[in-house]
Amino acid sequence: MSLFSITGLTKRFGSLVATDHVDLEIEKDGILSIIGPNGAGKTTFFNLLTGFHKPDEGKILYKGTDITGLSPEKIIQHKISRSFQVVSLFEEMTVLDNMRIGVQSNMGFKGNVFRNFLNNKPVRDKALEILERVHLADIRDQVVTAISHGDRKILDLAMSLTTEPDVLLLDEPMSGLAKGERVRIIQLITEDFNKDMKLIIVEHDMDAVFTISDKILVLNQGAVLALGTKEEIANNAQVQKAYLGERNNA
Amino acid sequence: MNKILKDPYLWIFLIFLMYPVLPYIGNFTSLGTELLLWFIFTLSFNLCLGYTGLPSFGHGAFYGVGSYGAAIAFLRLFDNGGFIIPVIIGALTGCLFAGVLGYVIRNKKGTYFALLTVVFTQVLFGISWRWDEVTGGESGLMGIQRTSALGLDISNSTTYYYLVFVVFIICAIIIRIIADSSFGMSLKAIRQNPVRAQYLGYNTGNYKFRVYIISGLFAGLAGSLYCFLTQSAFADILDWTKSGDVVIATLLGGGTVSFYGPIVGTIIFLLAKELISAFWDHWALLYGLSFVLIILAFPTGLLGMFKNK
Repeated sequence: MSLFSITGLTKRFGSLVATDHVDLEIEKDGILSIIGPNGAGKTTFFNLLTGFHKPDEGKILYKGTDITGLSPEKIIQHKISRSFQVVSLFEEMTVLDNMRIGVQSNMGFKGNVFRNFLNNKPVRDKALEILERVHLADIRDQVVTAISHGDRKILDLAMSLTTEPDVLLLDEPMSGLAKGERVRIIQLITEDFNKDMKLIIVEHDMDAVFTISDKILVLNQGAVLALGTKEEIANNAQVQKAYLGERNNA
Repeated sequence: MNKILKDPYLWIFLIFLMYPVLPYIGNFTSLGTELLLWFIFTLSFNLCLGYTGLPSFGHGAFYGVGSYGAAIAFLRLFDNGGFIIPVIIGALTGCLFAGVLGYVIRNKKGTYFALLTVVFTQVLFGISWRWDEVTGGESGLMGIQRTSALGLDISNSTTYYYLVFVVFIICAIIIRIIADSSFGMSLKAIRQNPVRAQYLGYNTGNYKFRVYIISGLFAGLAGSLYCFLTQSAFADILDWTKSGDVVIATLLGGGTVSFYGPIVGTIIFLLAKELISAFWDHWALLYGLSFVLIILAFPTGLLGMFKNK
């Protein structure tokens, strides 16, 4: 059975069709990258999968269960998590407290009025464990506005891990990063995250895409242009014409 | 030493250290009791505004219905008797009305949320003004007697002052526990970034609803104790200006940056009101102007000013 089975998925914003009758089967294993020119509908497609937008038409089945139009907090219950293109943190909190907010939700403490937030050892331990995993434990007591953009990006990814997802969708994880920071994220994705979960990544950095991906999905004008292995996509004439060719000629 | 003296929390502590002896220093009992009730009201209101970021600009409704709830329970249900049960009924009335309004507006945002709370208050004000049979209309409800509670003679205003002081301490501790709890930090997270909170599994509407109920309960309790302080209940308690006052007091003190902000703001607001109104009928003009200047210069309020240093 496919992990995601998507049929006729459509989203319109006024007269603009951002996602246009997408039919797609996403398999369980490997890293899937989604590419396409600007305005191809990549982020909208992401937002439809994660409940940020409700589709106008179509259906999304996840492991055979209909998750079409569910709210984000319901999508999370299916162990689907996401990161954000523009980092999305709790800006007045420390790095550790950002993690605690995610962990306490996952461990069922979030609505507890009698459990002190700071003295909750299981939550603290789990939050620190994830911070150590992504090499941010040293800056745990810093307020997030004071840390570097690269660390903010990684913290954004780390917060997605607090829900212990089976599927993690990463929206342009490399955007705005220097080369050294990109290497850090590529290492995390390929050497760590990839072991535990299915990864679906929207990314503009073609070097990174062709380094980390097992399969690549190409969107163009809201529709699926191609889906295949790296080699198949690199040699696809339509893709060359619509996207990669433009880049290679640039 | 200089640094210690500039610590606002030291002054807050000293004020509360002095509180038990204030009735023996001057004629402070009535104003002191009213201040304590305002502390309960603004601290609970700040769970909505400062912690969750809810612009609940009609929050006086829950204080008002708490007052009416206790008064009606005392006069109509218990045939001019009791104290504890009318007070509990008043608190639950605030909680119930907050629950109804909170459920309806839990997913509204910003201006729509604020306007709906104000409209709700004005509707309640209109009802209390017109519904003579239940609320007494323009004449209000009078004759609420303080007799005894928990073996204490609360007809004595000093005894009532101490009773309210104990209730305030208990409420402040409970509200502080809530603010520092997992739930309290969930509220802060929702205020700072509701979208991210949703993607971490938080049903933001549900949390807004729950904090509204909690806040309404304490506001209702404060209102019902106020009813026994004044031994009456009038429609003006539901006027929108009451809701405006609680917003001003909370912001002025620095409720958005400190748990104790509403207490500081309330002290300044009520004392300024008492002092200036004694000399000048148009005190609100001066007070309003001062408020505008302080908020423009220090948007995070007085405690925010100290915190930024």
